[in-house]
Amino acid sequence: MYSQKAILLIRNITPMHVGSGNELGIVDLPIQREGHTDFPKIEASSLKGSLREAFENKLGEDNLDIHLVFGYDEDADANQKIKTILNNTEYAGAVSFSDARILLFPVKTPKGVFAWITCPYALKRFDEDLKIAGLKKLNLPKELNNIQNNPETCIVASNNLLINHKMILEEYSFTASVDTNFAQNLYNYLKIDDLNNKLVIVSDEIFTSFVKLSTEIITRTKINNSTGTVKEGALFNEEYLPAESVLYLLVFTAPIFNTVKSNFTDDLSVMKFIKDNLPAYIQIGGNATLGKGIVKANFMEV
Amino acid sequence: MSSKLDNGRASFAFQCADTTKQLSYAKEYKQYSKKLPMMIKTNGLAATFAFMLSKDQNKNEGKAYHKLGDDILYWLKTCNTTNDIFQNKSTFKDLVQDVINLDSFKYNLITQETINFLLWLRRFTEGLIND
Repeated sequence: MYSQKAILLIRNITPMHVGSGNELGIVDLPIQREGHTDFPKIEASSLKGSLREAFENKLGEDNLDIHLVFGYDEDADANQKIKTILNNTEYAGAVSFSDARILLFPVKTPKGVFAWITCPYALKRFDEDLKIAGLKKLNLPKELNNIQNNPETCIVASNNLLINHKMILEEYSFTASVDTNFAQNLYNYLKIDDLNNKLVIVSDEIFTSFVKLSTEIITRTKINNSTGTVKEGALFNEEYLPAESVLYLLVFTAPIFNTVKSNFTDDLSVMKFIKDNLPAYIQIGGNATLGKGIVKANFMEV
Repeated sequence: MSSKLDNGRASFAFQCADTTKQLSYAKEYKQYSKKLPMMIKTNGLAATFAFMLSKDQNKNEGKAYHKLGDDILYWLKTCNTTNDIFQNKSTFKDLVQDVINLDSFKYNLITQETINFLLWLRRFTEGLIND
């Protein structure tokens, strides 16, 4: 049973492409999205691979602890040695990750360059996840339902965001009410600088449309070296979750399933291993050689 | 009309592609129907519509954009979720005038609907119109 819980925050430093394959829609290579909301997500399996790689880069592929915590990888270096120690290879990893969910999405604004938007649904879900992780619940603003009933309005963290009492997000404008307390409250969880100058809560529908239409699209091509022209069929576009997007995921740990326990006496020591060894910056998703998918990762402490 | 939204879009898009294939500007129509969804995503609906309006209707290019505009208008007038907004509009120019005065929520709804329709149109022009 996975009994230890924590929330891992992820903030994009560079744009991220965690792909879902080919699609018949607007972009050739879209990012992963949730089935029921169309919000961007990172699938747990993609995350687990990236996180394991981050640990392997730090501690080495043949580190026994990684094999115990994440599960045995027979392709890892020096696997014979590990295999011998582990006796058998049939056991589950002791750490479990949920899909990463979007919490804050950056949108261009004429004032302050960009704003972090979120919506009642994303906030309520985050609040519920805080409860699952055993953390203190958020104090959600009372006006949340008002925006839901009236999508022309939004809640902003600061007067600094407004032009003529209006909040402008890309080509849309909203009537704003100011709530400085909530941004401060959320800052205590996320520790993201400038949140109190950039937080905007819009309705669920408006949020959905921004996360669908305001992602970055990059057109890629390949030039044929001998002719200097575009190689046939090599013009395609890719979707990226922009830099400054903020996501989070639940992390659970269990006692080690293998009979070999190494230093791990219980589920708590497994969680400690994860928390102590997680690098501050990790790479998630495709196009690593183009500098994509570099994120800042940290466990939330409340 | 079908009660299923996407089927409605699909069958109307098929009709549009099918009636356009004999016209002199069919090739342009196909090319632009492919291009428009991305143009809307990157520039916004109003800017894209303004661009379409700016094209000279005496040329094939303008004719194709004009026909695309009419097809979009006809779809928005028929479709369940948007028909009440554009009921009395008869030309694409009227539609554009209306779109730039919409509130954010409706503007967003129209944007999504237009993109969804164009995605179907793009699929059918691909199959029905030869280069």
